[in-house]
Amino acid sequence: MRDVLVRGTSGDGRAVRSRVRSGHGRQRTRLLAALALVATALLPAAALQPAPANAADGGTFTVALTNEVDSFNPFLGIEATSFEMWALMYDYLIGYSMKDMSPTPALATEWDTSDDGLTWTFHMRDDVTWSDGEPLTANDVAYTYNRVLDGGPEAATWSSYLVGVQKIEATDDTTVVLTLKKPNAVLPLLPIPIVPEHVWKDVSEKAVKSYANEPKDGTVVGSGPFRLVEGTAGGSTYRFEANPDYWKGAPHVDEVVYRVYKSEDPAVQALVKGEVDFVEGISALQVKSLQGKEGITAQNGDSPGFDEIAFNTGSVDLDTGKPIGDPNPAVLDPKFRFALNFAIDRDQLIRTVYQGAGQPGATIIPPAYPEYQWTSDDPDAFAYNPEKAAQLLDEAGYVVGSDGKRTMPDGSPIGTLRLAARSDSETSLDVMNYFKEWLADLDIDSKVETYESSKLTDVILEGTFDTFEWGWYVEPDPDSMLSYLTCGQRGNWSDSWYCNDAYDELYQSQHVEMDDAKRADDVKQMQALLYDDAPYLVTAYSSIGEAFRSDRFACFQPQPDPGGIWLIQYGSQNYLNLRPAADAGDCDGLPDAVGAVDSSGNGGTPGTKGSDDGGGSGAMIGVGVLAGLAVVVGGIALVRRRATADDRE
Amino acid sequence: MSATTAAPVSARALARRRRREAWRRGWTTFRSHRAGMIGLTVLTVFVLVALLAPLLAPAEGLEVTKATGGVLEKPSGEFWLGTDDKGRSVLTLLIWGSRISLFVGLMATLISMVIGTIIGITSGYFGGWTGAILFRLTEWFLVIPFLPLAIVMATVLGRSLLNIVIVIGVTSWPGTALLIRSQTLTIRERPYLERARVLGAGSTHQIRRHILPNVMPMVFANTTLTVAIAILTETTLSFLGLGDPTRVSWGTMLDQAFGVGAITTGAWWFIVPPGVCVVLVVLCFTLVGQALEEVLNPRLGERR
Repeated sequence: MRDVLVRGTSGDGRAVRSRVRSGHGRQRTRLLAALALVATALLPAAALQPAPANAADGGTFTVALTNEVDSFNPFLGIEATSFEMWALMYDYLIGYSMKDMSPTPALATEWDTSDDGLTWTFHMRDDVTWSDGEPLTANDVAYTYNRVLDGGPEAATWSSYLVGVQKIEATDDTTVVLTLKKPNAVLPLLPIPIVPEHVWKDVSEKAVKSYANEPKDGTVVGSGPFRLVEGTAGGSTYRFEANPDYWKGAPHVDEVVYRVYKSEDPAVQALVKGEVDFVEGISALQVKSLQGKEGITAQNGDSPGFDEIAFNTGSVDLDTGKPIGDPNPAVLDPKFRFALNFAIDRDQLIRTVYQGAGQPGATIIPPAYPEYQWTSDDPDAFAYNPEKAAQLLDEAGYVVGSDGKRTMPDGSPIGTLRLAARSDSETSLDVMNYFKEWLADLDIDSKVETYESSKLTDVILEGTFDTFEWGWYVEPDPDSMLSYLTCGQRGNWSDSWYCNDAYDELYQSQHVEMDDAKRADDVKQMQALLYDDAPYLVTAYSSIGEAFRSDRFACFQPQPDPGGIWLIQYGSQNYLNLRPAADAGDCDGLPDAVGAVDSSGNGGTPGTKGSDDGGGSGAMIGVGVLAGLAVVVGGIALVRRRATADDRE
Repeated sequence: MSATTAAPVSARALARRRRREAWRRGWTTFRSHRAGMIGLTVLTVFVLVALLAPLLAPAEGLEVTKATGGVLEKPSGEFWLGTDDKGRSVLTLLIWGSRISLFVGLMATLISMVIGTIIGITSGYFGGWTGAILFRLTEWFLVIPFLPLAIVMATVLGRSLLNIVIVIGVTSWPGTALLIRSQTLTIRERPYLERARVLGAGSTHQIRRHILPNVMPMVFANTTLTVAIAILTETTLSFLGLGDPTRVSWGTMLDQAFGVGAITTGAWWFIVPPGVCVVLVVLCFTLVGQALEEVLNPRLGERR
């Protein structure tokens, strides 16, 4: 694993970070929105006319995104929205189940592995064709995987799934064989989009970096349930047409259209007005206000990720082993960090910062994966207990000095801890403001500093920080998440500079362990180590707010089922499930699908207008305030003009 | 008894007396402007609130961990203006926010005035190359779109209270400079300055003793108008997420309110109060500024 990742530059670390967080939490993109507003103001009025609201036509399903697609090329993109697009355009050998995101048959109908775990054989279906009529065979799969295995830009995102793989062959049209050097516990998970060999063989490794894979360069050949017919990376509209010959069955809508909004509130207003059918990434308060609206269904779906306060546990130059950066000596001490675990009131964070959506955090494996999640024997392991925190600090030698502030064990002052928050996330800023006050209660000075996410990545790699707030999105297999805290990842994907030999040994052992129960034991032991050493204080398991027009569409199955999210899932299953509300029926018997006629009455009443209460008047007040400001500004401008005119003699 | 026969009055005392009388005359004129008086009264209230904030609302009310209210509670007897998304009283935030908003507005105006006056006088008094270059510089700053420049500067400098003051100060001086320059140009040609030059007065003396006192009223009137713009700019930049994120100002309140979707959720009590306060303060500064202009520049009044 290290081999592969070392090849990735620090740029890759940042890339994955932004992918990890995109689409989650409240982001501040208003600045861009303001600039865009300035730009649109310069355009002719016609350009400002909203596109005709074709959402009323059951054939088109319109989704509001708050993040742009960064590339339609599956070897280049890093944003969560891009992954969603590829899921519509391409197929996978192995998919994720809706229930718990475990590996499930997709192009591969069945697979088997040798007893030593060194040979994996996948048997594929033979009835899949590309959109240009060519059949999709095992050769395409082997071609795609080999491209990833060869390194280069293709390896950046996907090579972590092929760790230890030596050879990939298509033995016939429907059989793919993977030969490994050493066992890999992550297999058979293979979420790599399969691209057509007969198209991509003309795209050299050099050219792939600039290959957009968009309709403007000619038809995009894919095999997925939808086909990209309009849209360009960084654009604001992406249009997909249904693939009527899809092997899982044709989708129930003719078109899926994505529209990019610069922030959540306008997207929510568009949903209320009926311009879009689905919004995601909205705040819990917005979910709450939408839940009361006629014809709209909203929820906070569990998302398998966590947010954490991370410490600089010892940034070093990897070549010389000498410390780099300027971490406060206090945060280098595991005892100090562990004591702060009890200074965080996770319940209050959930109640206020997360507005009641989400769950108090504990360990780096979220509750969505119970088989791997470690739970402490002590029921108060993550409880808010400032007295205990103070007592632990006293025991570790961080006693209160004569000036009323805690000192280092040698009596020198701790100084001011720097709490780095991401300026593009309000959640991040809020959490750090709370943390600052809790630290003040423990007589420790601290100050909140804000960085752009990309800048913070550099700061982390330079080691010039004490603590920061960020989060990870955890994949169904815990391997990659666990790897981020190994010694080998320092200076790369590790953001806490954590290094513990015992942890690394367990990591290696679980990575090759083919017995699931034994592997889970190792994984839990690793989390217990992390609890004591506290490189991370996991603050919350976040959730994602989503809402859709249930008077128009139905049959969204949550992933994980139940309690999960409706769109931006792993895979494209819900784009096949969803259908106009009028023909929802029982959603083909999906048990927890939202909007089935015979389910708990979530179907909504078609034809009723959303009541124009809070939202409408709130919007009008906002407009009023803005208009007031405009009048004042205008008035001042006039006064100033007059004043200058009069003074010219 | 007339002043001429009284014990010899020093020139300094005479000047002081004359100045005092001028102030009194000005105040009388100002008082006759009803709009200006209203503006001044409201402004006084705001300044008092800002100064007395620790007495009116204890600072603990700003601490998120000690907040007692619910999330976005409606106005009630306990929370007169409801609560924000952390359960803090909006009224407390509003009172403390007035400090930052007024502070930034005044400090930025100070910077803007100093730069504007120095550049205006220098470019007006010294013709030739110096004047031309400074004048071009002023014009250059004047034609750069103000908001994008401020956004770029705020992004580059980073987000802190001092930086936002600098950004606003450095971007809002060209108007003042032009105004002062034109005034300086006219004063420079007046006969008494010519006389002073003939008597051997140097540039420094001329500027300090004759030009500066003459443009000062202008600067003063302009200040009140610039404060209004500075406060609006602070609000704008904070709303765009470029303000100091660790301090409460009216702009960051609007930013927060927008961020939690107060418009969608109908939490008007989080949006309207800071908005109204900004509008009120800006309006009052403008009213006072207008009244001051009329006091200091009687010709404006004559035309009415």
